[in-house]
Amino acid sequence: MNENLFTSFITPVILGLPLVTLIVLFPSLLFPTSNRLVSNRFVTLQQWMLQLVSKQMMSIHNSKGQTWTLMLMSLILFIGSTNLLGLLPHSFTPTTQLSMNLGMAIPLWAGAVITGLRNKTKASLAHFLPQGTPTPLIPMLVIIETISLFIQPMALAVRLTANITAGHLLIHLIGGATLALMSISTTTALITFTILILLTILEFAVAMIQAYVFTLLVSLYLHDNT
Amino acid sequence: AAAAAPSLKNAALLRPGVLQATRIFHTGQPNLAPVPPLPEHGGKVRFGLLPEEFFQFLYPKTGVTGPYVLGTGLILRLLSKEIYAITPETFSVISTIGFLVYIVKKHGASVGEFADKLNEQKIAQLEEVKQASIKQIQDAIDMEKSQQALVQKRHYLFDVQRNNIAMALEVTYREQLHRVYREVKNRLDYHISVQNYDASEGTRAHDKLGGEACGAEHLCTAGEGNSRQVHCRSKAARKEGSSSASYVNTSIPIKTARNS
Repeated sequence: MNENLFTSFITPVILGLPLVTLIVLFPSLLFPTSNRLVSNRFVTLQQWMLQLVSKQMMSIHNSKGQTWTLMLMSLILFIGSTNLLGLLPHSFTPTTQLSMNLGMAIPLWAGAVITGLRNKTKASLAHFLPQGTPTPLIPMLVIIETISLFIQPMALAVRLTANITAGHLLIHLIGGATLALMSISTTTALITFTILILLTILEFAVAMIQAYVFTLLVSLYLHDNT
Repeated sequence: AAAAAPSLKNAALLRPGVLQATRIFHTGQPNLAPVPPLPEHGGKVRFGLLPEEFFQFLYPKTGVTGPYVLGTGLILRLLSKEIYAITPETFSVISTIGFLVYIVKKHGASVGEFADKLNEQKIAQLEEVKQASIKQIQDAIDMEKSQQALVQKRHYLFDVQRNNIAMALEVTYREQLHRVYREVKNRLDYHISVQNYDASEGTRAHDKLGGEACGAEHLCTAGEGNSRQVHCRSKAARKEGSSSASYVNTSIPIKTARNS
């Protein structure tokens, strides 16, 4: 079935046609819209959850920052749903591809920074120098802050990719270990299987947490710049 | 949709109100195709995958254990012929699906109740607004009714007021009448005392005052407009009487117009 460890990360292509497009678009089917006041349980729960998340995340912004609500809410829903769907067996997770994560991180970060530079030039440039630094350290600190600014989109993308990929790899490896240990000593296999169950629980949590972290950081960059 | 709208509305590429008009609220079926209404509960399934009808279908031929034997045979065939191979992924499948099934079995019902409660809260909030509005209007109606009832009783107040005024007028009238009576009596007493004086002193003094007695008679008859009749004694009768009897013989019948 799977020849080596990394076959689950190959972009799915069927007869030369990119299946990955459908896979990326699939989670949108899981969030139905309803115009009713009283909808079914599924839609009600989603609406409640979305309201909770948007209130918690967007309340810190001013009115200019709150125009980004739609973007950030769709971001967290997309990342969360793709990560969770990727935990199902034999599925492909788009967020394991660095290309996609870079494609999400760089435009969002750049949008926040350029908004800040356009509208509040002095204040956004002032972020390069933290308050209360002793005078001799200023040049070095400006260089360090510039580097840290430009590393932000890279960090966003790589953080998400690494976490999800590492999680999938671990599950695969420990599953393999359990399989190998089954013929040697069943008890050890059972212990390993317990570890696998715990890891699965962790992965579910990580999937949601990573989505949250990504969106939170973008919103923080936004907050600095509006 | 907006076909009946004239002139400017038809000028644009997409007529205003077209997008909203397609969202018709509760006037007709929710779908355009004639779909039958959805049942409240879905079909019954076993193991979350296999419909009950399948088990009922096999029951006449193979009894209760038929489908289970079929399933076991299928799974064993898949495994033995390695159509499905046991890989590391198998264990992740077991752990993931097992975890999900456990969560759903444990918390499924409570999550469903929570969703129902959310909807109920929404409706209860709106219902409360409606009930408050109805109650407000009902209170207004009741107050209006009680006000109207009070208005019905107002005529008692007016009667009492009317009676008070009538009494006050009556009292004033009687007071004035009494005053007139006293004045007239005063005059007449004066004339009587004059008579007595004449009788005791002589006729010369009496002739002097004769003109004034006639004047007093004119005063008495002046009040006939109000139908007060004061009969004064004539000169002749006055001459006859003595001083003490003159009070008793003075008759002033008084009639009042209002109480007649």
